[in-house]
Amino acid sequence: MRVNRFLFPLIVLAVFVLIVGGAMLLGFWQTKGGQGRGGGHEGDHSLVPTIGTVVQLGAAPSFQEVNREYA
Amino acid sequence: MSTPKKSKRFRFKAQHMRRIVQAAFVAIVTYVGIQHIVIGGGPTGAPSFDAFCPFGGIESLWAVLTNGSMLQKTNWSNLVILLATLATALVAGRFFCGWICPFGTVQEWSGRILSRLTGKRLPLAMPEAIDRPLRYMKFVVLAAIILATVWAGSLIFAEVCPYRVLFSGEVTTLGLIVLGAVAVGSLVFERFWCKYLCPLGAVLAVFNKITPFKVTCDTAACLTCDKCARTCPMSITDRPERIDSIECIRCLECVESCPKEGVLDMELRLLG
Repeated sequence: MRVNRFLFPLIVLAVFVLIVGGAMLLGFWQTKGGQGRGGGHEGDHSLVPTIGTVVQLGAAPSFQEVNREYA
Repeated sequence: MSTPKKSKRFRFKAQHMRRIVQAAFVAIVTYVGIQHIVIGGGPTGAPSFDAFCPFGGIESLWAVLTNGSMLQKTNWSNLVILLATLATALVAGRFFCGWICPFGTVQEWSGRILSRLTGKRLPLAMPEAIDRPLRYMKFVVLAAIILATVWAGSLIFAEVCPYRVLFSGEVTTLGLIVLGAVAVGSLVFERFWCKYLCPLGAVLAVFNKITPFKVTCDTAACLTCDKCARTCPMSITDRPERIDSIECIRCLECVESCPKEGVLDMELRLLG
């Protein structure tokens, strides 16, 4: 079945964007706080965006960081 | 009285769309890299550039499967982007290479810019006797990086990754040397890194054999003008009925360069 040469890349790009976007919305988009061997010098806090927020590439305090002073 | 010249009407082609998509991903990746340079890392800084690389997800897989942790500088984002990349590969093979990968884009554009500036027909095609065996080098590179990463327990390849050096601004001497060599190679031979060295390309290449979307050729109607072979950025010259070469990056340059409409096209076949 022939595929329109404009539709084909749009379909494939949609797959890519939906997976990344879905991960962001579901809270799987962590870009910091790696627990790898040797520790993460980037910090040990996870950044999990909540539904409705745009991906924050900058700093955002985690739950632990915000509540540490109240512990 | 001279006949008036027909003005060429602009036609929006798939190639125009591809360049827009490529530019968008180059812009995103550049933004990520600049953010990390300007803001810095650490708990309150920008994420590491390495957190956005799908190959970082591949490198971390052993650590994830064996002890449930990611390698340093990698995170869930690597696995998400890897999943997205593999999903597009299942659908359309090395589509990522042809439409998304910023490093492939930079190689492609720099070669074409140089060609226009010099007026010479660049990039060149590697002699076939060297080209064919050299295409398997990327699988050797892939295996070496995976083994080295498992052994070291860290992103050992990151120091020399030319993509990382170019976009992250975190430069090492060895990394600069590799980037320089790849840059020269790409200016002379189109998509030099993609063809011969890219480990992610090696992973995605195998999907070309199983994807339902493939470029097809009506061999009976083909004029054998070889225009498609000349425009192919991956220097694919074979034209079977279904082009399932592991090198095809689904750029559609061949489809749009063919002088006869309908000879080359993109088809979907779910079975066979």
